[in-house]
Amino acid sequence: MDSKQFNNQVVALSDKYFRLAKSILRDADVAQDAVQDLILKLWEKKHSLGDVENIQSFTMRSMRNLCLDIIRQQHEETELPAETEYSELNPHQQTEQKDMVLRIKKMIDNLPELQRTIIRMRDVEGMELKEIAYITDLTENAVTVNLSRARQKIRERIMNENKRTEATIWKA
Amino acid sequence: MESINELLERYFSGETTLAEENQLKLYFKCQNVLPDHEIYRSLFEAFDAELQDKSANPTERVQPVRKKTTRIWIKTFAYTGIAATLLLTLWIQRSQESKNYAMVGGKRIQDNEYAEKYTAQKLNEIHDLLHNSMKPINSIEKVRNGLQPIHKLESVKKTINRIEN
Repeated sequence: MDSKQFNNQVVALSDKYFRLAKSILRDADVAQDAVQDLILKLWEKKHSLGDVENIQSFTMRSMRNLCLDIIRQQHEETELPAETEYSELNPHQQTEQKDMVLRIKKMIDNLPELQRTIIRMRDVEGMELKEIAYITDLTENAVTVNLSRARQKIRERIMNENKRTEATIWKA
Repeated sequence: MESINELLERYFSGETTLAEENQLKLYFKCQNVLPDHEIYRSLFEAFDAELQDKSANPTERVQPVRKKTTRIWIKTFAYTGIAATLLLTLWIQRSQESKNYAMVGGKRIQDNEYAEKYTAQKLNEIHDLLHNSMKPINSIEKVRNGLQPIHKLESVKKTINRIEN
């Protein structure tokens, strides 16, 4: 793969790498550094990239693995435990995050790593289950299960938010 | 409404296809979302908003390491270009200067002051040379003037002869 092909097929996907890294790492600056690391590493291996059948799947999988390595190196200090539940917003937080879109983003960020990665790859990036399965090293069935759990949790949280908002309105 | 409800249930169960999910996204983008579904509008808006997250262009900050041979070629072209520019500048400058020069002993002289002094010196030399060359001619003139009495003697002799005859 020459530099032109590298730019067209690898560097062109930088926004996708960034969104995936940001979703896993939950820090835009660290995610940006991770994207640069990935591109440098891929550049060093550019001669073998020509043999890769699906560049997007391969590079996205590399991005995820690199992010998981970063988390491991940080001794998982920044990673919430997998079963951490979404904490209800207190009135002050509610005032700060009036925008429901921002609150939903926060809800997704608070999902376990695998679930937030899968829901974003599917609902933001519009990827096929097969591709997500390859990137996450899971079976398609496992992807479907995790996707369903992630969506169900978000749905519950949205409904809870909605109920509390309605209750506040009624009280007022 | 029923089909949207059904789609939503299948969506939350992770059973929808990409095409069906796109159908839902389109539905929540339009203005005619039913009140019962309004609660989910922000969810699909959040997905759209996340898609706008862009990476700072990594190619601006991370330039892939180029091959050394490429660098050598770039340097070669750069130096050749600089040399060619200098030569062109010199050539243009010289071609402009070449309109005003003097040739002395096969050498091109473009210093006006030097050329004037050199010319004056050479003119003086020519003057001296001519002056010296004219000296024998002046001597001949003197001889001629000196011979004038002899010419007079000739006429006196002729007069004497006429008287005697």
